[in-house]
Amino acid sequence: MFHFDRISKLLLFFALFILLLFSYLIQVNNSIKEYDLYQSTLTEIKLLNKSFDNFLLKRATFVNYDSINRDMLKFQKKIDFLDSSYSLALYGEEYKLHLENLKKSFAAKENFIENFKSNRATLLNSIHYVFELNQALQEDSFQKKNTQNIAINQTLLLTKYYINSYIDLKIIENNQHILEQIAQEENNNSILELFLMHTSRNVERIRSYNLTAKLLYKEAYVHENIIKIHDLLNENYQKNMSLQQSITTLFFALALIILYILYLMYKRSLSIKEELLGYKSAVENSDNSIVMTDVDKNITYVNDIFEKETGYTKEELLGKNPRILKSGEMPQEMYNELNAKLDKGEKWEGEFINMRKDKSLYYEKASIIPIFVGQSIKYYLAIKLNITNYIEQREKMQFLALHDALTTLPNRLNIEREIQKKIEVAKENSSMLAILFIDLDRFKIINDTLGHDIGDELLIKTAQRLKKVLRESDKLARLGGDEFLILLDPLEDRARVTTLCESIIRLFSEPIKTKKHELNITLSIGVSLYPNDALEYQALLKHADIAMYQAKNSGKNTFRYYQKELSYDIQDRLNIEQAFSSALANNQFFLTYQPKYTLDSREVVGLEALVRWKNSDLDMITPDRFIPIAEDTGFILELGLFIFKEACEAFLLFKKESTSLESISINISAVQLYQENFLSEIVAITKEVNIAPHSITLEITETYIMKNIMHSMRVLEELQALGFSISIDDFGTGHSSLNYLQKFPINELKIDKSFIDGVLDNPNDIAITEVIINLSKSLNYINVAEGIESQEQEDFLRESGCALGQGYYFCMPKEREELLSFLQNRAN
Amino acid sequence: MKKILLLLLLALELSSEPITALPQKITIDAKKMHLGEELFFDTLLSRDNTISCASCHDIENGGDDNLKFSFGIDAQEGDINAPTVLNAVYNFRQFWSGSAKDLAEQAKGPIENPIEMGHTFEALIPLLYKTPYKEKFEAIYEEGITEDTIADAIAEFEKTLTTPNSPFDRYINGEKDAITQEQKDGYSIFKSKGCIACHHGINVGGNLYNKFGLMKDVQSKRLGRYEVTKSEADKYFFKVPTLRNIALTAPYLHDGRFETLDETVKFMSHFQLGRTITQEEVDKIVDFLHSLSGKKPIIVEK
Repeated sequence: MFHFDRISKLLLFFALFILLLFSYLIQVNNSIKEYDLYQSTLTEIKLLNKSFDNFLLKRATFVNYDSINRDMLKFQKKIDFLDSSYSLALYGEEYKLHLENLKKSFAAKENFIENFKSNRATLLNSIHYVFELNQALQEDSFQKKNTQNIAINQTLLLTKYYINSYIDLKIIENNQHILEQIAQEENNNSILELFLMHTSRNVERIRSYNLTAKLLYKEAYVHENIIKIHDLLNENYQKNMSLQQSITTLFFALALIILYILYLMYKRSLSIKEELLGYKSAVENSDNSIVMTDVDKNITYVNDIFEKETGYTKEELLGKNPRILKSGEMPQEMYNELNAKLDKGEKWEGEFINMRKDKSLYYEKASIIPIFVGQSIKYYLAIKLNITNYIEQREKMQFLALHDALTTLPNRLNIEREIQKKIEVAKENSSMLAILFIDLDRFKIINDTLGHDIGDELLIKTAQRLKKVLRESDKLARLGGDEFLILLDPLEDRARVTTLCESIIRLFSEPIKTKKHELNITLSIGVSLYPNDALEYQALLKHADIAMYQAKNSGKNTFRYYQKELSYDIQDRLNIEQAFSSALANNQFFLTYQPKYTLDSREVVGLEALVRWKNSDLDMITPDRFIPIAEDTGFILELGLFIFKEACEAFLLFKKESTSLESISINISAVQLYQENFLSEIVAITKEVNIAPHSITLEITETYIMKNIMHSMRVLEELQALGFSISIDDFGTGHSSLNYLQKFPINELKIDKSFIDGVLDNPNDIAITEVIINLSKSLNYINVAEGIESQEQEDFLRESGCALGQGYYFCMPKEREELLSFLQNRAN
Repeated sequence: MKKILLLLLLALELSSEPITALPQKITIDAKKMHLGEELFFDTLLSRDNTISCASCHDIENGGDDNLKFSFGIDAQEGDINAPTVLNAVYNFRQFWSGSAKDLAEQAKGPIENPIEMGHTFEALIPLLYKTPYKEKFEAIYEEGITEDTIADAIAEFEKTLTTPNSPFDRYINGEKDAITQEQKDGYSIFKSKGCIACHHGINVGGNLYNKFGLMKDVQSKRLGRYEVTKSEADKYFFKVPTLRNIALTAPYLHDGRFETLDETVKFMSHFQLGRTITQEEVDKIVDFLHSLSGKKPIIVEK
């Protein structure tokens, strides 16, 4: 079966047409070539005919008839040539008619010539004999003169008559008559009788010949017929010439058209070629794997990417069925659907999980297209994109959307959904759920002081540790920051919650080891229960959060169940937290100063800077309320530096008013001491304000020192080395070990107000105070008694040997301007 | 003065000889010639298988049968003298009446003539097919045995039947002593008496028709060319016969009325030319006519 496209059909048509034209042209050309042959033949017979005519004029000379016979034979042969079936076919009916006429006229002419030949032979002979007889008469002396004269005259006339000159036949007849009379008279004149016989016969013969000649010649229009044929051929020739010219022109036009078509095709094929080259390089360099199969699904082409993706080489793939990549991971139905679609001639799109040569799996997004050539499918083309990375990324994203990246625990969204789902189930089953809201105590401090890396590590370890105590059915999630959540489902009884919380807290009594540190971490846990505390997720979560704060407020490292009345305190704390950031900027924080004086001479030697917060919404918030919160949130760092700088600047002013003033005491939070760049920051401030460090006493609580002895010792040593004095605040409240105490670089001990309150009537307090005073003296520390509110207390302490005092009795803490005038008054 | 003018006008003297010699060579197709030869001598061509072409055309003896009239099958006597086959190829027509334009056409005539061979081609051809002629014809002619191929083969053979190198031919070819003085005189008289007007050319005749009995009635039964054309003007017009080998082909004239050349020459002079002629002149002409007998054809010598 041949299939022709449009162009091929057109060219085939042209080829046939040209073939037809060509054969026609050959025919015309032949006819033109033949023309020469026929024309020369016609010319020859024309010449032959001329020679016949010429022959017929030669009455007087002897002619060898062989030559005229040869010419006639030649003429006949030429006519036979003209009469061939080939020439009849070539020139048609009219030619045939003319030829028949020619033949007829030639036959007539032949007849005429034969007649002429016979007559001529006879007459010539006879006239010749008449000459001889005339001669004989002239030479015969017996003949009459008259006879001789007439004989001469008659001979001459006869000859003239024969050669067709004009003569008067009557004269001949008259002469004949006279001579006949003479012959009769003379009787037995045999020469004269012979002369008479021949002359009379000749005259008769010439007359009859001339008559027949006229008759015969009428039919012998050979020349005219030749001319007719000649003209016909000429006409035919001219027609053929112009036909040939037209055909040649047509050829030329056709050739131009074909050339133009070929040019168009060439142009088209060039652009197609370019396009194909473009496609080819697109296919070769595509990021997609491209594979083509024949209609039996045997691979006929793969591109480089396909090789790379599958691990097979082209040689291994060509001729194979693409099912060699089948992993078995896809359901057979999918392949059935694929084949059904392709068989229908439709495009299929979908995803494959295929297997490489090395047995590894990969995902592909594929579209397979049947390619039609004409009416039937010739190829299948598959364009495939490796989407393994995308699929993995997608799964990761899906995981990350619902999980915490750091700990891989379910995230807030995830646990929210889970809880909501469980609430539904619990509603059905009338069962209980418990939510444990867990927060790491003081995590922020660790994160800020030891860095995020450590903080992150701690969170991961925390999550791991928490998992240990959970059942399979329990869910642990990280809500963000240092907040974790545990969902207990199902919850049989409340006792399990308590047991779990206790075991969690116990679990964290052991320090967590990170790469660089061993960290003591405690947790605060808040618990809310479904359906007891709330019926909705949001409420449950909020209540657990509130319970957690309650646990924190209860000294941390513990757990609390949600109680409705707790809610309000927590709200207060949240308000304070939120107010911090704007408070500093709005100058809501300010310092008051309480003088530190010598008990014996009542001279002001120092001042303690005390921070105060005047908030328009919250009124005056006491430091014992906001300082712990600031410490928890880390705001204390910022606030601490503000206090430090303010105090230093104020001290320089105060110093101008009081010659006895030696130092300013500034309270430093444990949180600040844990911060790495604390030292450099305060040194920078002293330089900026231009104050000597020995004028500054840093007050630090006893509980801080005792909590982390190694760290605090190092920090305190560095501070002392820089020239700062170190004062232990609230001394006596902590469980200080005296062994440790003496190793510390301490300059001052401040006896806590709670002891001073009881020095007049509580023997315990009197004893402790006296011990502290004595201890300080032996360790060469300066003693400061805080909270002196009466003359009696002051007297007792002076007598007990305490060096310095501080309290309302001597002076209330005052703001900068107030204290300045206080100092001026005292100086005066 | 007038006489001279007339003589010049009627220039009877010829610049070249009016008789031309026979050529030494003739081009033929050998295969056809051999086939034709076989046919020429084969009596199968006659209905009763008694007569061949050679029966009436004895090649060895002047190419005719030396009878007044020939005998056909069943001993039927014809009514016309058999012309010689020798040099017949040079005749412008064949038969006394000129009814055949060439040898091939002539060859068909006697085969179907009821008083000659009495056959028909329709009957003859199947007969020939039963003989070895079948292969012979088919080897030469695509169309096999037909009326035309039979005639063509015979004609091809007859072309070879020429008699060149007669004493007269040798004479006109320059051999001065090839003929005797009498013969030379005879040739001269032959020309001056006007015989040459009809008997000239390569075949010394055979190239025109002329009337039998030009000057006086000669009493002929046959009507000559009239029998072919039925034209009154053609009555008694016969083909002028060749005079080559005339000494060998007695009796003479179409009806074989004379046994000798002497009688015939006298007759011709009297009836055709209307001239007086002396015995001496006749003798010389007869002498001359004898010089026209040439060499027998090669086939015969074989």
